[in-house]
Amino acid sequence: MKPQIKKLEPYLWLLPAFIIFGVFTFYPFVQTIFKSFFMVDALGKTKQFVGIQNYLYILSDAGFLSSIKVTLLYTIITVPISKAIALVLALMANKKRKFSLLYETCFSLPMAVATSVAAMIFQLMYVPGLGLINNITGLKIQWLTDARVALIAICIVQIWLSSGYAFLFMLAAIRSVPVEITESAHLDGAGTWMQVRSIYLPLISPTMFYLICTDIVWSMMTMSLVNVMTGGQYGTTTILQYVYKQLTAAGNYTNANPASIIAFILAFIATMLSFAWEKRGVTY
Amino acid sequence: MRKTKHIKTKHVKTGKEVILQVLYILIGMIMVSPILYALSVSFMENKDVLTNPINILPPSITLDNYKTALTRTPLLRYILNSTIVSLVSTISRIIMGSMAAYAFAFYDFKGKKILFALAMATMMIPPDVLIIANYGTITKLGLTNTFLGICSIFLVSANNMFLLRQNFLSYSKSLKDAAYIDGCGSIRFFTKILIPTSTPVIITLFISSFVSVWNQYVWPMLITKENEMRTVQVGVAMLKDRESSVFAPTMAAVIIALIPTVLIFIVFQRKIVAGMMDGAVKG
Repeated sequence: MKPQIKKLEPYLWLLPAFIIFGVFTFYPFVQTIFKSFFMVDALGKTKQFVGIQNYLYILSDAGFLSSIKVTLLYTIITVPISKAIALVLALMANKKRKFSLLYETCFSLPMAVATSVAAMIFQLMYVPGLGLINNITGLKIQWLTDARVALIAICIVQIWLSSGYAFLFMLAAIRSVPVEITESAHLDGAGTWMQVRSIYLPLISPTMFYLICTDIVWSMMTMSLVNVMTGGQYGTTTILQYVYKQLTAAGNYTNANPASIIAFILAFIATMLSFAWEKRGVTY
Repeated sequence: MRKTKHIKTKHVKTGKEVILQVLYILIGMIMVSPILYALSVSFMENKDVLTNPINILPPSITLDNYKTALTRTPLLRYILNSTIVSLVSTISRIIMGSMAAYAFAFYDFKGKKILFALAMATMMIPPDVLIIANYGTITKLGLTNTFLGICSIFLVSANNMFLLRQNFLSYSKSLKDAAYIDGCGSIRFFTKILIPTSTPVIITLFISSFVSVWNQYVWPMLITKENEMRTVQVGVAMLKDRESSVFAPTMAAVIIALIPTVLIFIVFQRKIVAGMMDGAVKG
């Protein structure tokens, strides 16, 4: 009896977590893949097996194709710019000074702001006629209602939100670079740019990799900013916003399921690509 | 002669440092300017918000917006909901995560590698692509508009589990064996030795998890239909639809929603990074 229980013991410790994983990750994942090959009614019940027809259908839907384009564009704009800003801020803040704590907190504070809250604040600042941004800069841009700039306007909010997060991690990474290395480089006459390129960048590359990887997945799944700021109008519908609309506006599970799976595949490919880059560019 | 020169360069250096710090503080202010502006607008009368030239600071200070935000919308209820959801999810994540991490760190058993890989694979599946199926599950269980329904998908986090495992691995297995010989069963070892000595990483996870669940938007929006059950993020975003041109009370609500996370963040930011760096870099 006793040895039996001992053998079972580790599984008992794992049980609660795996029940939740099973019910809310594995099961829905398999189910979404399965249902994506069926016609599904408005209650989510499978009707008829149609093979890859659903995929072919949404891939010929201009709305869905544009949502893929918007999502990729959003990721390509926000991920590198927010990382570059964070890197510059972290290099600036590297040395500890009297007021370090003050400006470090300012640089990183956006990370504590929820996306919906940020969306509300920027919406006020983006008001075309008398809003803060147009008022101060003298621009006359219809930030959120002009299809040419609406996506950029949303990207700016995202960059603001994720720079703070990336800054905090990069600062910790940069500060853990041994002083001897930078000092000897300094004595050898290496300029700031040389130091950044040949010392800091390689040494913080694992952190950079972690940040880029998580941010890519996050950006590809974006929808809350879009949903609050434009509701997906003016050329800002992302893939998830498309899924959400299919679901809530039309109850169209037939389109929503394959769209989710395509979102997953794209995020997966992006992650794999960044892993390929890890092999070449990241030094541990 | 030499000495004066030395002092001079020192002066130049401190001068440069002062200028740098002033510059950095200015950049920091620009970085937080959206928050400061929201704070300022929350004290303005609504007619002073969108004017030409614009008011950066309130011409006259009023607390009416806070009164409006608190009386016209169930903001306090939203905050209570968010607090319950964040607390329950966070505590569950830590309990389930540390239990699983304990098994992975201290036991050898059949299928360990596969189970661990499965757990880690969940990090590769963004929860957002699963909202349709999960929405169906929750509806079937009759859990829409309940706290359990909102918490459900946040109850366990592979990321937390991973960080806890990394932390537990730094204990040697012999510690557990020794405790076992002393008559300390594995439950007692877990609750009396392992968890109490891991408080630093647990605090880190508690804070970061609390903030991240507090800031969730998509899932709570989908799963709550009754106004009474909404979380702060959903409630605040909905203020926009109702009174789109009335910005001042909305900003008061925004500031109220911001206070908990910003306070937690300012107090604990070092701890969050230290704990997360451990997992990200070592892993």
